[in-house]
Amino acid sequence: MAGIVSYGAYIPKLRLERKLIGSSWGIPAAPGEIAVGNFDEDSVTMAVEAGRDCLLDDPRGVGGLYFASTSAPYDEKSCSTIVASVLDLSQGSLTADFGTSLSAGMNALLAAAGAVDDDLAKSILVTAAECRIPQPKSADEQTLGDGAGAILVGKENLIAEIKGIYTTYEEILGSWRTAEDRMIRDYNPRFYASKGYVPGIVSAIKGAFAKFGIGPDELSKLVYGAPDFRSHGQVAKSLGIKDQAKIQDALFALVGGMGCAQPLVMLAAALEEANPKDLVMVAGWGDAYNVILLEVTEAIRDLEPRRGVKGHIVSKKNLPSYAKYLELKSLLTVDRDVQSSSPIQVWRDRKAIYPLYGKKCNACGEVYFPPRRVCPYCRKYDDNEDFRLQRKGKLWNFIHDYLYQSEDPPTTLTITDLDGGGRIFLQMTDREVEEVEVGMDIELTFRRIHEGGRFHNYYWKTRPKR
Amino acid sequence: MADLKDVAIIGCGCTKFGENFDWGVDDMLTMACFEAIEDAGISPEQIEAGWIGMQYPFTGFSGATLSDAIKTYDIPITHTENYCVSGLDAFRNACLAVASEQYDIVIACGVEKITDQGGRGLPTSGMGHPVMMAGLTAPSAFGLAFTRHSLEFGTTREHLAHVAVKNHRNGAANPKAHFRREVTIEQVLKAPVIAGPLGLLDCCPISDGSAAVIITRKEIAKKYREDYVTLKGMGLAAYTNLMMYNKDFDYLSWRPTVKAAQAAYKMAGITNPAEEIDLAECHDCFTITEILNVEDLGFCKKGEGGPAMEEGRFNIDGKVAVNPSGGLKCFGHPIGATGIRMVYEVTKQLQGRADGLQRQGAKVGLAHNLGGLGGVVCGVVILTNEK
Repeated sequence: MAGIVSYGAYIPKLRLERKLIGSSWGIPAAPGEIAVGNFDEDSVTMAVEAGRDCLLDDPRGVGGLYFASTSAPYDEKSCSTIVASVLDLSQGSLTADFGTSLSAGMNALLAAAGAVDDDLAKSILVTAAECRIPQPKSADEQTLGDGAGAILVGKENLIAEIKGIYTTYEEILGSWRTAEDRMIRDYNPRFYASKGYVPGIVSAIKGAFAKFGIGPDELSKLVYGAPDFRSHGQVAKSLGIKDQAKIQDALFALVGGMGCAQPLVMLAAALEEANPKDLVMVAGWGDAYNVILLEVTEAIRDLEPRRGVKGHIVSKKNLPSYAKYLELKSLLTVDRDVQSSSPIQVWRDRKAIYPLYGKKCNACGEVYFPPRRVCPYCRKYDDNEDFRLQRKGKLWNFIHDYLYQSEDPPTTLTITDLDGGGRIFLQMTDREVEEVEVGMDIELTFRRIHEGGRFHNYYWKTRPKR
Repeated sequence: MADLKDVAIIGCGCTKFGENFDWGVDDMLTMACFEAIEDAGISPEQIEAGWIGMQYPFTGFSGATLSDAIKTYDIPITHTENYCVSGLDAFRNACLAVASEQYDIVIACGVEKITDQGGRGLPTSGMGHPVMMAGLTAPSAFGLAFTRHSLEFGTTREHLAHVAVKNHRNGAANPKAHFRREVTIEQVLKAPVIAGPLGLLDCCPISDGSAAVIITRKEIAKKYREDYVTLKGMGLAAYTNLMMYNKDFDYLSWRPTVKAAQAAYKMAGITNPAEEIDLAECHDCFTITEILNVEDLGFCKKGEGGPAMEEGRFNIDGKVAVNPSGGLKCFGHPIGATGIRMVYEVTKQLQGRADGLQRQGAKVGLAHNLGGLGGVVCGVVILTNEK
């Protein structure tokens, strides 16, 4: 039976303290902060980052990519294929997109387990990412956060085995967004908590306990998401679980509610702390309540270290103001020049733009980027092979540009010597102007560059090592 | 068969550079070309062929932009585009044509009309790859040189400021210059930052303008004027648009400048540029560019550009008068016109009739025109009044 092979997470570097939201509107503020995707991030770029964290940039052997989000950048156009392409998954991989429901992340996880069991793919990387836009001044604005989780589902080298699955659903209007809405609407959060979410997830967890023949005592960790901090606490109370150590932190204090990505991120966080033989139960919400029981294996001890949930949470920078948040999220629109682009050119150059392949010259051995027919070092014509560039290096040259129009000026332009060969020119993101210096350690990160041609133009950027 | 060194300039014209809101492409081309035609003492019907430098499609397409302006219908006219070297390459091709004796009298001109496009730097949208080159602007492309040059040689913002102060001093005296005012070191250092250390006063302005020259051979030139100026050396080198990806490019030197200068010096027989050249119009699109230029052109040692600038070695009465016109920095930089404007300036300096400050006793002058986002292509032309 299918199980979990690896996990990863991504929390954006930027955070907004809730007190800045409160003071901007003159309303009470909850404690803590929310994670805010930078202006060049969306659910696709965050899914890429979580996927990279999960695979440690090594896509070998991965047979599929699922992408789940209610805040996907495209309503019509596959996002899973963008993520798969950037992660350099093989052409024969199975890809699928899951959306519209806050249960989409767990739906994708269940679907992946089923597909692996049915031998549709040897393994599937499930990514779930959210950057939802709440109504300004709403309770959601202080509750929601951006982030992504990734779970690699397979049959071999399992760090956790799936021991059981339980599903149920309830139909109710809690929060929603119509096809015309940009921001989430919620009619009455107290109504949804008392008649929808709390009874729904409690009955699902109880049903799962009954089906699996276990109770809270047998569990090492109970992982369940929630629409907000308060209702998350109500569930534990209703279940009669007093030992807070058994309940996985829903990350509301430091990250915020990550929608359909929440259960995957929380599962990743639970696995970070898990020991062999632990029983971990994960329950998703969002009208469909899906529950998975996992048993952790000995292999978890051998999993290579990664940034994961913990590493991403501590790597942060607080936004200076609520106004900056509004600009980054394009909630305040600023008139800017329109860039030009072409879907045809992006398609033609897809191997350079997405999985970042350059060339290695067979004659002189030099690595160069962008890929070209003739080697710029020895002029050999058509005698080279594709070379996947490493995603880290050392900064060789840079400048901060205040002329280019950006939501986060200045635009830091960088020239980096990549580990393993190749020099590359990229914009830098998630940086403090003062911290940039020649020779610093650089990581590459996949971002949204601009909206030229009326589509999302993605490409790589550099960032200081997180 | 004639030689490139038989090429002679007998007339030159140039509009005022600046935010020429009142004038379109046609107006400016007409004014520059007729000034050159009248200066040469020829009639427009004598022009047998033309070259016109323009970089931006919004300025104009094809040779007909020139024939539409001055009505030289039916003769061969070629549009040259080579980034900021578009104008100097028009001149270069015209020189090759008269040297080959294909034509006797030709016109080379350049024009650019940028201010119609709005007011925020040079338009770069659609130039280069849509995502790989996104974010690159002209000041950053050149400013990247400061980061490396300052690390390697200790070049400072103050060194850069001396370039701006000198070129504004020269340009303030020039009635055709975009700016007519001097600036202080303090003003340059306190100007709003544009890219890295480069502030507003480290950058050339966005200008409109046009310039033209009439070119023939010595034996014909004599019939029109005694003080014609002749070609002594010429070189052009194209490198790459992707220098920022090339680990051989060190940002301490503009490689096309070095190569184009080598060719021009070889043709001119110049072995010690600082001693043998009296004045140079060189491509100071940004102050850091001029620091690299004076080193690349051999006016001082590599790495010495900043201190040499501070010492005044490139003032109007210095070792080499660099940008006596005010340069791109102060005179202005309508891309396609700039190379021809440099030839105009050097010609008039060698004739002792400079519009602004005159380099006394000038015998050999150089025009250096660098183009592209970070030194992609370069043209160097050396002129002399020595017969």
